[in-house]
Amino acid sequence: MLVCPSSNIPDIVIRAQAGDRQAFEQLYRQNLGRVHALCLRLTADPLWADELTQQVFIRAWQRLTSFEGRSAFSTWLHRLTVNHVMGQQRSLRRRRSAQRDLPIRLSVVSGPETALDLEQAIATLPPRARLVFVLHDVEGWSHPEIAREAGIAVGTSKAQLHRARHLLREVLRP
Amino acid sequence: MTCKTFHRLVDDYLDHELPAHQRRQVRDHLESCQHCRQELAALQGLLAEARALPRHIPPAKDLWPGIEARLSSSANRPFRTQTWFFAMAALLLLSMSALLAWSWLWPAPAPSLARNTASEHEQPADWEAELLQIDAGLARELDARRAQLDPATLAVLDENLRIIDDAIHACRDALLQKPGSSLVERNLAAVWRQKLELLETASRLPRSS
Repeated sequence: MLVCPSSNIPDIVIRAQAGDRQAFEQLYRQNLGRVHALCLRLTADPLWADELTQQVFIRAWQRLTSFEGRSAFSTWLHRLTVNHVMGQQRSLRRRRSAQRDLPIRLSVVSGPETALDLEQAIATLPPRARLVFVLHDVEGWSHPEIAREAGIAVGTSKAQLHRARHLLREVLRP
Repeated sequence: MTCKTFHRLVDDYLDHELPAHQRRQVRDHLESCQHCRQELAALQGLLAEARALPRHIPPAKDLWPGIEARLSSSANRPFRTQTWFFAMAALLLLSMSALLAWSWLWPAPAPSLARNTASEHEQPADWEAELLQIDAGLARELDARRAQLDPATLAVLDENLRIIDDAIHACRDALLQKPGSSLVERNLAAVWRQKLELLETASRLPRSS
């Protein structure tokens, strides 16, 4: 059965879809922290996270008309962020094909004191284990969702989560 | 259960993905193994800490000036010229391909049949009635906004709508020749979906500046 797309879209998004820059800036301000946090945790690289955050919002601007209100705008943007970061990481890995994992960077986040240890530990994880841990244990995605978005098997997602938790336990062990 | 088995199952246990009998086995093992209890407690602490991490971390500097500058470049304009043009051009190509496929699969009917189908075009299948109503409503909305839209975009839009309408008629012709064909009905539905999505998208086109 055919369904006509609904128009359950917030006014501010409709204004941005119509090319209103101020409306889009408002959407940027509402969602910046969330998008940046995700970019930062997935890359463990503050400079790259800043650049990816900018790219995500430019991509969102270009694709705004594809948002049809079937989910919350923040959910749509969240998925766009994950897809974009994964795509950029894949192309970086291709360019660095001789290198299996990205270099480990510490002290990547200047957040609350209590969070520092875990944030630093997450940054030491290999990229794929970090991706699965952040999406599953921080963001609350399910394994099938991660598998679908990352193009991996559910079993691979589970194995990477097991690896990530184990590595974090080792790093954080008192 | 051994500690090794516990270690293999602990993630599914924590994520509530174990079947009941295995959960029971894990719980039984935990009652008798202090080492695994400590391991489980540590993992539970890790997960609680992960869930409590801040969801929002603003960047050290405002990124909007850099974003705004890049939005201004012609390559990043979302509406009107580039994106719309290419989206519609792609649709045009798709519809053309569909039409070509129809003409290939179903040769033109004999003149007497062609006359019959011309009149029967006015009698669409029952399931199309609802779509025709939606189509009429969206078409009225588009007509009401025509004066506000960019003429070049409008011209591409009209050309695409014309091609889609031709494709709908071609599908109906094919259905008359092969009544009940699920393949043809699926294709007719796909063309209708294209038309409604295009009209819905057109209803959100920005005003011409």
